[in-house]
Amino acid sequence: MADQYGFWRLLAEGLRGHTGWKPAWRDPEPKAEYDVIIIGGGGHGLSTAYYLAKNHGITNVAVLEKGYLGGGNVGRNTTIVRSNYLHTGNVLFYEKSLQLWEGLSNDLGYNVMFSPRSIINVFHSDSARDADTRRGNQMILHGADAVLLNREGIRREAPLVDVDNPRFPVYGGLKQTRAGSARHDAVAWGFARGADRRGVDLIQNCEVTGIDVRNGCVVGVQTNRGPIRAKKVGMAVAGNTSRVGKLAGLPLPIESHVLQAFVSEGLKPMLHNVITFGAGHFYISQSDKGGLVFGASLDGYNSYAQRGNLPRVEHVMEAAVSFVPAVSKVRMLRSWGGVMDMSPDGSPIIDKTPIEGLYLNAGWCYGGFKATPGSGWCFSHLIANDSPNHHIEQMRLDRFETGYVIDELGAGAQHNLH
Amino acid sequence: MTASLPQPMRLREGGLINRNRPLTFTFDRRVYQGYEGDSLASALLASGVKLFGRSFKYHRPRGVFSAGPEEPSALVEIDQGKAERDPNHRAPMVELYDGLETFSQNHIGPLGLDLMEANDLISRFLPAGFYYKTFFFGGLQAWYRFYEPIIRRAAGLGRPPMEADPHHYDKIYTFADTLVVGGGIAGLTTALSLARAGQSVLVCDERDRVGGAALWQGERFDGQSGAAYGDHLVAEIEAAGGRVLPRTTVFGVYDGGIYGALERCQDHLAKADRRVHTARMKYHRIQADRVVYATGAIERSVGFMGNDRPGVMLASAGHAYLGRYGVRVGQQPTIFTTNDGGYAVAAALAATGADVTLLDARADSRLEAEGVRVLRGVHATKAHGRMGLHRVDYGGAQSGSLTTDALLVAGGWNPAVHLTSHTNDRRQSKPVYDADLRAFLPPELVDSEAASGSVTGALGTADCLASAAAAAAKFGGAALDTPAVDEAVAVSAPKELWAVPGAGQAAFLDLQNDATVKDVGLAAQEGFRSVEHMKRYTTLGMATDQGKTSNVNGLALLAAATGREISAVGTTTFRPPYTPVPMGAFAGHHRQRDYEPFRYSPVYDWAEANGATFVEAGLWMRPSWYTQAGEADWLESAVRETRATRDQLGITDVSTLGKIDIQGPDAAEFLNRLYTNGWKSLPVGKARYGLMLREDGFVFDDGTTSRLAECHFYMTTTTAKAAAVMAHMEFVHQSAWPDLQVAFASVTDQWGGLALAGPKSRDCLAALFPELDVSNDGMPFMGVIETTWKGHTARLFRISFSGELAYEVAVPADVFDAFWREAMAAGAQWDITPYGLEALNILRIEKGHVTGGELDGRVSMDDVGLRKMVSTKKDFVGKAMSRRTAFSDPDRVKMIGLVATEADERIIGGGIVFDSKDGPFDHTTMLGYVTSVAAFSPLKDRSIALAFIKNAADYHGRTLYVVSHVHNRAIIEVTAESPHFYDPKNEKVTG
Amino acid sequence: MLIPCPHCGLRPSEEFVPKGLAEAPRPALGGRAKPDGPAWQNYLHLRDNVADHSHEYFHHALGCRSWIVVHRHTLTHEVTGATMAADFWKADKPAKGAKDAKSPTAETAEDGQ
Repeated sequence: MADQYGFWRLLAEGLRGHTGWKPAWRDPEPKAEYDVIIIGGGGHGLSTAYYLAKNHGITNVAVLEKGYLGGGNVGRNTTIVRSNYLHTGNVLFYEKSLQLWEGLSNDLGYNVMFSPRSIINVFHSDSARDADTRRGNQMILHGADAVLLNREGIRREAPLVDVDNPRFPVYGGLKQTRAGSARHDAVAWGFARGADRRGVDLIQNCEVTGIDVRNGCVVGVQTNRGPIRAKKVGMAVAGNTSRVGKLAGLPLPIESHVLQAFVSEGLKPMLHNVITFGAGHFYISQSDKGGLVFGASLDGYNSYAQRGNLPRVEHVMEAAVSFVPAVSKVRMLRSWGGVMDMSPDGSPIIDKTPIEGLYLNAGWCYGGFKATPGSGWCFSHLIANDSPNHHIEQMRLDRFETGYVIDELGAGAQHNLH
Repeated sequence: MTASLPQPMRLREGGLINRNRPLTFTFDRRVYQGYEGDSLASALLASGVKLFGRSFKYHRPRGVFSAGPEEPSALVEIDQGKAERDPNHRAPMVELYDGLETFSQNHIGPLGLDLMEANDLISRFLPAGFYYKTFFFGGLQAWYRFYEPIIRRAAGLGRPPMEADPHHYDKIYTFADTLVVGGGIAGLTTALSLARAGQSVLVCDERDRVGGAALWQGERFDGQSGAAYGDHLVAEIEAAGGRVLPRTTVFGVYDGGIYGALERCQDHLAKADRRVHTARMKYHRIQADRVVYATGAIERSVGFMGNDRPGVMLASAGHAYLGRYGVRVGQQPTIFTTNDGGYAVAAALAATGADVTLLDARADSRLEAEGVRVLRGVHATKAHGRMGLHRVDYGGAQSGSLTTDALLVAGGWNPAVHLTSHTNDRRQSKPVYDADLRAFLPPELVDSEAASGSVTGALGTADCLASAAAAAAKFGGAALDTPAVDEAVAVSAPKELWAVPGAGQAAFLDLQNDATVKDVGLAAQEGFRSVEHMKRYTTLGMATDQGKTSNVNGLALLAAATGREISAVGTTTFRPPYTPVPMGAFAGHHRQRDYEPFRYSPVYDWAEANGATFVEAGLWMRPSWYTQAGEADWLESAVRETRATRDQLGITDVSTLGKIDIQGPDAAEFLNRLYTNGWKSLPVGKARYGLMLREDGFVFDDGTTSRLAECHFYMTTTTAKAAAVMAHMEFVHQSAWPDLQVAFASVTDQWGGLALAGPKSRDCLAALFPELDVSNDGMPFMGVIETTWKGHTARLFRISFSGELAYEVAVPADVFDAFWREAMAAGAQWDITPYGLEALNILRIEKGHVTGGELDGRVSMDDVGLRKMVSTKKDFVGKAMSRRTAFSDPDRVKMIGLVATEADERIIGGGIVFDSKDGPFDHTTMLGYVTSVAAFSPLKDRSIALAFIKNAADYHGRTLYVVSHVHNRAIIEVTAESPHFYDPKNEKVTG
Repeated sequence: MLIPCPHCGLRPSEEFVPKGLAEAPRPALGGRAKPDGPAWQNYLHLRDNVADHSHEYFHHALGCRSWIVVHRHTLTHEVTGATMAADFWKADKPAKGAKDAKSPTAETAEDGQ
């Protein structure tokens, strides 16, 4: 293809003043009908469109985005990629996603800067070590990788961690070597570009205002740019799932909560891995640009605002300076909030809905970013074949009725506890 | 003191500095001098320094660009040493003190000869987003091991501190009727009016002294200088009961009238003057009913080639260095302006004898400035001078080239609207573009907000004072006499000029991130049309200054490139903090040891004095084991304690268990609804084991609850779940069954508790309470007696967690230590042995009792073999959901006991259970997992464990294998049996 | 954020622990509602979850220990009131900001069998 990216192309364009770069994606007018409509031009919607085209040969696809591509949580997260889950229902899926990440830049021809710099979950008690041992073993049995570190291992791998913390001393950690971080916008843009080049129409500033259902089957959507017909419609609108679900009359097990994230001023390399505190919610890594990227848990109250409040900010910083004391002087540059689709068990839903032809991809809680390629891979399979592949067999919508929940934390049916 | 060092750019007079108080400091180890009242930037400029640092991406040499917090270029490290080093300080915001040590950053080799400047030479190949388009060769490993490390080393700004911060920080709650953000003349005027009206007013100003632009613009108020008038206003405000905090940045606006502010208390002081016991900074959480935004405005630049060269700066900066610090930034300065404002600085510089040329982009301007050569209809096209400006080319109505040593750019003003759009408690929170003023103004303010001064778009002192009066009037301020203003500064809205024609790759917008005019064009060309796309693709505005001088130019150029109105493009979202805040300031004293409080049992001191090693159990510190002389490790101690308990008499502290006192006529009914089993028939004087489910049907918690009287129960919970159980009880009572007449309170801290366990426990109890009949008849299993001990209430429970004959005794916490010591004395004749959590763990695993390891929030009653605890006659919390399909799935894992085959092998907690040692080991062949391990069970003379496996009943007596891949794939052979290893018929506890 | 506890007055949000949306009452004890039916599902799992005025449980854990229902807008975070949870599901409970009241009692929320 003529508009391929790469070193020689960059060199050639540099010599001619970059006049030859084409738009990364077209800006098409919506057609009257598509084979598949994906609602939501975030990471998951774009990757679903990409894999519909690439894996299933379905290219008559529209992605409808009410704002700009990649403007949802894919553009406002802390970019951690991992598959260190306990439950089969999760680890099978996230490991598939991680494997896709490993080849993603070359597959897309777009550098998503996936960097396997490892994640270390630090623990602070014997019982937490047992729990992480079980998790590490589960990961390995599901094809992922895990290493159990002792205190010396933490000192070696993450020298800035306060192993001798006077309140909650570090006992060790569970490391996933293949985990890491990526450049969030690049993922959205890379999938967008890849989908566009395979013929998918990416339609921005196109808000879905209705979902047309006839005799229990979906027939299309209403938008601010007119009606569009399709027999298959996939929802990938984490952050707005309830609102879009309501258009189809679907009651959904989702609450929206705000999760704050933070970035510091740029610094020379300080932290190599992604590390997480076990005595309080806190995780931190350093981006390629040098900013420390960190966050913790939900503010707790229901929210659709992409911003949080000071009590959580203080709590995050208390954990930060207790876990990695050297960051105390580092200045926080920017804070923001993402609206999380919180499900009652903390795990996502990728499933058919009671409406034929309407497919649901929702409930990502904190885990959506790392799921981006896997979600598209599996959701496109579900849409193309009307049945799930084995990676998402447990991510069912009816699991709250049957009790087959995937409760990674064991926190129970309360949306904001996960 | 060293001899006077040269300050060639310093004027003999003028400015707010104290020339009688010279201060010595270093920059890159070279010694300089400035004066009290200087900033680092002004002192270095005075000393003739032009080169301050290197940019982020291209490592271009950079000078100082501004005189305020918007500074994108002149960033420095302060101090050295792994703990002390403090990078990325904005030189204009660093107050000079004697002995200040500063260092330039982000370069390899000396600042003047940065090897990374090679990036600038190849900058044509490194446009916006170049990294997305390359580094594919070699795949993931090449990216991670080769390309990315190079990028990471090149990126970043200053060097981070690498050790704990030696400073401390305070958090303060601060209250005011009205918060005024910004202590310029407008903010102070509004504040005084409100203070005079009786309001409690707090003014926060980010600079070291109030006055804002009036400190340097030169206008006079009733004949006074701006500085003097500002001081006068402060005195009046304070006289009226208001407060003014300098060096305090209001960085964020939050819900409910809450504002975050950072007060810098020590950094401006010479080290010898810093007070050890005073916080370096104070983080204020301000609660205010009303806010006045008096945040001022920030000047913007214009895009042209070389507009980043050292020596090019904002006109307001040149004016500030002159007016406030007595520093003339050039002998032969050039002003490039798009509005009337440039004339004031030109005139001020000319008045010092400088040779000043002014390039006015407007052809139709008629203004003059005394002693200034004016070229009209002319714009700068290119600035020359890699290490320091020496020439500027101009074009437009006429073209040519000027020799110059400073180029001051006046591109118009951007009101500092940041705080006004932090919250969206109004429908429209984004700034609004005013096409006449060519500026974004605050969105419509709500009733509790007002704006004062140039943030409103007001130009000029008179307009600012008028807006100050309007803001005060909105909040009922008192009328003030308006000062007579001698307007020194001509003002006008700027000509619309975001970048000059032909500006390209080296025409910078974001000076820190090196985002150029061309980058914005490229973003538009590649379809990144949303302002958010442009920001993210070019990184414009994402640097430490958050684009204070660059955002508006960038989005205006994007609008032009995509054929839209600026108002249609809009701004990106302003996020807190307004300027960066140290993470440690938010943490205050809640760090390290004081991250979370400690909870101590009343007998902590006794345990500590008697050899206990403690372990964190939530917030509690609990004895893990008690070391005796000669014991090599914890296991030896724990096994001794276990044996002593089984054979004789053990004592352990159970004070940390949650305790809830429940009273009322409906208390039994309430318990009946909470627990799976029945409670109405429980007689007074008896305890019962209870199991609670969560509403979703999974096991929540367990414990014993005793009936002390007909309408009085005493509940215990696990240590870990105490708070959650209490909150749960309150929830169901208040939200679902408010009609139940029951009241309950947590009494965890009010009672201390100990357990006596072992064959001699009854004897010991009898010795402690000689007047009581504690025989098996007098106090049968699950019996409860309320009595007194030395006049204090004492509650005796015959319950057992260890599997031995055992009693728990609770006494009020304040006498518990004395009671414990008496129990130790009473038990001495049976060698009473205190045991810790490790021994407790061995005892309960031998008995098959579950704890948090088993009750992990995912197990059902059946899974842990407690189906017998379920009453079928009544409803209770969780019953409905526990009837869901999954709960009766035959594939559910259930609890079982494991015994190691080899005496010297330890079962691994978290290991996975298989029925073959040969594999394949994967998730389809696994049977289950190990939850709790006793490293050594005296009962079995080897390691035992509790585990959950599928078809558990089928495996009793069979050989299984515990495999732990994270322990080098260790494989441990075990035999499965009932989890109730010890005394399965309960003869010990009931005997 | 400030929360207007009906018992204690306006208090800072960190004294409270939020639990989630209060959209459906707990099905009555001994009722016939099925675990997979709407009554239980609406109580435990399913949510309207609107970007609008909402009702939300908060526990005044570091205060009077009341469970309250806070009337709050989930987009603007504007707090318009609060009710004791004990009163919330009574028939005469206050109307929700811009929304209609929920089914007034637990009994009527049974699955209608």
